[in-house]
Amino acid sequence: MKAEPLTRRFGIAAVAFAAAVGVLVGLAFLAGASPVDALRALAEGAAGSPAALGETATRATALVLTALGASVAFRAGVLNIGLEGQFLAGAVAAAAIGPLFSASPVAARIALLGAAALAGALWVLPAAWLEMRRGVPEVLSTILLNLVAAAAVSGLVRGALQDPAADYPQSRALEEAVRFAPLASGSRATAAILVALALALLTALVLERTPLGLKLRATGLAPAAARAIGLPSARLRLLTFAASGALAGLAGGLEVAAVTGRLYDPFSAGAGYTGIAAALLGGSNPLAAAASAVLFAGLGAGSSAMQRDTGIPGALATIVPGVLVLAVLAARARRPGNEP
Amino acid sequence: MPGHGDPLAFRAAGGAFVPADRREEGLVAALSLSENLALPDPPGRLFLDRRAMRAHAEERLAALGVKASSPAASAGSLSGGNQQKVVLARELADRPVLLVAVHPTRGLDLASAAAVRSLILEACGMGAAALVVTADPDEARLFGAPIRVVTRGRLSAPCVPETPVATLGRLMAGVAP
Repeated sequence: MKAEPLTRRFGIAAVAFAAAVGVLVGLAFLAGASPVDALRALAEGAAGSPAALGETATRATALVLTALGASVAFRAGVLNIGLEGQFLAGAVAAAAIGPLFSASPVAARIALLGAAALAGALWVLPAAWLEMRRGVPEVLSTILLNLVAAAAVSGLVRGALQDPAADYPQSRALEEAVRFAPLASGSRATAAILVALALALLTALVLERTPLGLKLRATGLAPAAARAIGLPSARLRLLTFAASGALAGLAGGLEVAAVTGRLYDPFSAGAGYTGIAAALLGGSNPLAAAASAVLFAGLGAGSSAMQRDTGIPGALATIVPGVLVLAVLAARARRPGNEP
Repeated sequence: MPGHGDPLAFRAAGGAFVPADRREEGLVAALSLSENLALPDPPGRLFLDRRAMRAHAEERLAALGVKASSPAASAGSLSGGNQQKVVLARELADRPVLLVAVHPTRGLDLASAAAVRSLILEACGMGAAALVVTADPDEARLFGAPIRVVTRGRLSAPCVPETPVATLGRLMAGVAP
């Protein structure tokens, strides 16, 4: 995807945001509530207090990482839309090995997050192999692997990974010492959000400032030219698949280690799909995609508060990300070089 | 070329390639000229050496007489003739052993076409072998090298460059000369 001038990007974002707020106001009217009250409840629920900010940060962690996974893939011309499955694979890995650790929390966290990233990368490999060796479009294979992952989670929490001490379909909990602790009292936010934001910076740096990043961008922008020029296209694509899957897998690992402490069924609220929406909203620019992910997380946290305070169904607010993405795609459409 | 053979092995052996479709295969239109000229091996160990890329681009663009506002201009913003010169600037930078150019002057104005031909001949002067594919018998004669005509998948015997266009035309049509 071609990088857009920053002013244009902000222009699009502003228009899209205005459209989204307009939709929200309209929805509040439909639900019979005061739009002002609704917006205030939404804003306070997203960022009005340490607790609200913690809720937004907690929700943002997985979304930022899956948005980064999608951005890397899209920029290099790989249509990985199986981030949900790779997220689940990472969560399974973390939930499987996490309870084995009790001492030395730092080593335990590194091991389980490493395992989660590896699991995410491995989960995308069948799709990479099918695409590169058999010509199966990765759009199909990655989304089908999402279904396999969801079914595997469902089976595992009732089988091999089920907590022997519980009747519920859930895995054993991680030791409290291994789990990420809140950074400050009165807020759920943990260091996990810092990990995600640091990776957003790192991803942007790699894509925009390194020789590898230039090769990946060239491959994504003009696959035929990249091959003819002599770039190792197959290797670059494989690396992209793996990096994208690893980021989503890490998101799943952090969800277990910092938020839920265990695996259950159904585990994901669609982090992999929302991450794709955030990447599209951010034009597959890592920093813009991460900002979009935080925005979506804030909308999620805010809409829960809005439902509690004003009675407007929180589900209505989930319409907003959809409207945002469609508005941005419409604004960007039919400009050469702007895909996907 | 994509899908056939192995471009990486071809290049490793000193091959250079000017594809028929410069917009799709020759250049990455959305990237800048200095980025295009830095491929396939951009300079810099950890981070891109932007200064080296810019200096290399300025040197190559000046050497080949490319009309561009700056190395930061996108490759897609250039005229066809200047785009083709950029392709040649990249392909000839490493002193290739063999240059394969497919329809290198197709769609170019006369001045650009002449410039592209002289760049190819210049590369030959520096020791490269060139294989030029063209559908224009007049152009084929301009390289001053043996001409072979492909008709229905069959290669003719070599013709001298002075072979009349009419003879080349009959060979192209598959009529015995």
